[in-house]
Amino acid sequence: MVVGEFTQDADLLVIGGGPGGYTAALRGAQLGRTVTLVERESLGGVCLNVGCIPSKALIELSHRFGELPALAKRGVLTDGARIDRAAIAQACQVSVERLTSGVAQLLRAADVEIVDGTAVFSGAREVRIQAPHETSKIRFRDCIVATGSRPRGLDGFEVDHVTVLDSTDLLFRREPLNRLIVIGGGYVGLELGTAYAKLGTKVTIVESLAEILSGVEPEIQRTLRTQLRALGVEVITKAVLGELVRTDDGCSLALSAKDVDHSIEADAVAVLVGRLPNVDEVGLSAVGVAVGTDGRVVVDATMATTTPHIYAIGDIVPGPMLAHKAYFEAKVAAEAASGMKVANDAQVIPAVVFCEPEVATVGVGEEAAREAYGEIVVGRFPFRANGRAVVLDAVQGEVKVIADAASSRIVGVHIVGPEASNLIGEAVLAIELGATLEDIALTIHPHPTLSEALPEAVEVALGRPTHLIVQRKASKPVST
Amino acid sequence: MDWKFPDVGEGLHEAQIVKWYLSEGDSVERDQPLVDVETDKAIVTIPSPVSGGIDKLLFQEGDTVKVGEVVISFRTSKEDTPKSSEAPRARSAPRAQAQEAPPLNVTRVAGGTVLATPAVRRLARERGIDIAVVSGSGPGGRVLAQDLSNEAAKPVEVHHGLVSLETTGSQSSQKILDAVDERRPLVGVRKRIAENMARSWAHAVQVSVFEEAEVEGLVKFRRELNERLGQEGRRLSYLPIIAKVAAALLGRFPDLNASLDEEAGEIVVHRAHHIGVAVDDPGGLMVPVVHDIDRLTLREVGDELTRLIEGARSHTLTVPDLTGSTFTITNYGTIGGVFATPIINYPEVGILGVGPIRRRPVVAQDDSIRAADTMTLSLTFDHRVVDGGYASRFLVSMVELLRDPTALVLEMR
Repeated sequence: MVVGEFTQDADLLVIGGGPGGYTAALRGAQLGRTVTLVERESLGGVCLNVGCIPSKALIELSHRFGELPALAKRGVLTDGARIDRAAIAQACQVSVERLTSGVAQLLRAADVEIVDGTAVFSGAREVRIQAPHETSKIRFRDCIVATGSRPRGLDGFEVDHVTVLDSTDLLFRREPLNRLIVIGGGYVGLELGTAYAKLGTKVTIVESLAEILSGVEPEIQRTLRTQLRALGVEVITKAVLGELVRTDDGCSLALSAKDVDHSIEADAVAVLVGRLPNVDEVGLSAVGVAVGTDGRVVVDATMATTTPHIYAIGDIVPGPMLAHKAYFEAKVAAEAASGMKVANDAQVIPAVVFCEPEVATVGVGEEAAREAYGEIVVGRFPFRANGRAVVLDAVQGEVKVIADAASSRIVGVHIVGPEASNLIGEAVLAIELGATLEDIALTIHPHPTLSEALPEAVEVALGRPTHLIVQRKASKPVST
Repeated sequence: MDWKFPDVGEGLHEAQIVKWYLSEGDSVERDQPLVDVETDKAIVTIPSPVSGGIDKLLFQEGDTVKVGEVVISFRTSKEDTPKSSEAPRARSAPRAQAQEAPPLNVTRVAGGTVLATPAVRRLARERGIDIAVVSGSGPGGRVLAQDLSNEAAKPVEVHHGLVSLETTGSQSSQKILDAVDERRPLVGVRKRIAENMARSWAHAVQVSVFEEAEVEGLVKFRRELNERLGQEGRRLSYLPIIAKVAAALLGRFPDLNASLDEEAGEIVVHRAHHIGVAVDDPGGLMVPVVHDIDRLTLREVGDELTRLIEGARSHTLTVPDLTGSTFTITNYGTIGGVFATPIINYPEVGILGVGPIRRRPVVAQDDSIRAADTMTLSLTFDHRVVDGGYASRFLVSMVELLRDPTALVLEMR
């Protein structure tokens, strides 16, 4: 024992104050546990401080600004509209502060003790807390580890916050940027690249794979490509990066794509190439917690690790690194640790991308569905046939619904279009409840709303759409 | 390749298979959890030593396996050689994305899932019903909440008709039984406790005597000790004091610090005073041992008990910590229960049960009644070795010492 080191006991210890951690703490407290939460930086984690929340603030403001020319065409004239970057950065910061202080209030109300510092396991039932000026120990009865993830770096593109930027730099930047290269055509690259393009930056997105937003349905990729072109965003796929050279007025990036060499001039480069789980530094392996070959912590359906009384949730366990997945796992872990018979048996985890237009998907894609179910039915409905979308002048995109032909159960819904992120909720519920195409078709949806697009797509799948003209096939029986 | 059971350490030669994570035919990654084995003290998860497929599992859950026995035979794939972490670095850059599974396109929809809402799935889990065996009455075989209630109602008939179930034993009723009653193998620590208890019950002729001690003086004594110890940031519970007092009295009542060697037909009186202490743990009762308690100061006994109790709860004790006791104390009062009849930690002769300290009415010599701190005590003894008078005299002496801390300090060793 180190002299002067102080040991306290914790009934339920939560490591990490991000979406997973604070949710686990709150659910634990609801179940009567005395909860201690350790956070090394700021409550709210990446999501609230430098992720989902500030990025959505920036995206929303850039979206409103980007709509002005179209509004002008329809009679809403806003001459001389301009951007005040400092005020936008301030607005992003305000939304962060409002939400993080909300989380702090919730935790206080639940009597959760918050400990500042970095936790490292020092025994099977004990962690050491490193704070700037002292170390202490916490002995716990049960522990939920929710340490999240950090941005992945890229060799040769070390972030200097001047020429090579990370996502946080883009979120809170107070100065305009004329030319920006975004390395990484994943969801973060698309979201921030699109937002910057709308604010007037000349954006080039560079991706090593054949398509941007790899893994989504090809229709979605096509729609995004068209929209990005309209916004003046250049997309270079199958890119092999060369050297980055700093120049007097910014930088120059050499790359080759499809055997053609390019050199792109820009003011800055943003590296947005995915995230890595924060596993190693927590000292989990020292207490026998198994980590898989993918670098994620091995857990069972109750989120329990291979060491008794230690649970893991969120970005450090397998699956997509998404806050809403962490929220769900947090509740399962807190309940299981408190003796409830629960398991994480969620059928699907939705994913949303706030680009232009928005993308939201849940369940399997067409190809995977065909592999899993054999015969499937697919219905697609374009937003240009939806009344509300026309009124909004947001007709790009479509809803695609996929069902198992034998049971008619819905197994995948893929939306690209206005408000896709808000529309996907119904589809998630449908899959989780095991709804069939008929269930959706027989549910009255309000008119005139974007939500009508899903039942319309379902009716296409059933072969009887109202608002689309179906090309009659010769093979179909002709009515007498 | 054949995989032999390794030495899991601590000089143990066998362990019990508690849980297989995989079955025959499954493929396995190196370091993926393979099997849980339980030794006398702890459950250890053994990771797979190789990547490949599992050809054969040679032991069932519940079996005991000895070090060196072949447990699994693997089919290893050729590409099993560990991948070099220093793969040649291409200049293809956002390669990070290419290696990573795309963040979208995420699903767990599979053909085999049960058609039921999340709320019904949770309800089934809470009621301990395997939803996969419930036949759903909803459209398309959907399992409804009502179906779970019907399922739960079935075991009542099963219990009334257990005989017919045994004789007919049809497959469907067996399914219902499985769905309602949880069955788990008796393994590891639980099995060891079961064996020890049954052996004690079968051999020792056990009688319990009870006493009540007025402990106002003891409460005050301990408070004073803790005021002193508080300056060092320590606290002492009653257990070290009681253990020391018991050890002192065992010097006067040596036949309670003994065991009966049935084969030799001899009573073995132990010279050493090794006091076992029962520790309640979710994994099962543990009895760590304070060795040579008569050579330790009260402060040292307190420290040793703290180490043993924490070690028992975190399953980090070694074999010497858990063996060799000559007399045992169980502090059942910390949880609840005014009196208890402890079972002898066989082959010892006596076990002392310590009840809770509570305010109770006490009748003084002048017949006046007042409230006082009192403690209940019980002593279970093996009547083959000692008689009731001997055991009662031990317990009464204990009561006297606990009532009078001054006398207690004089006797403490």
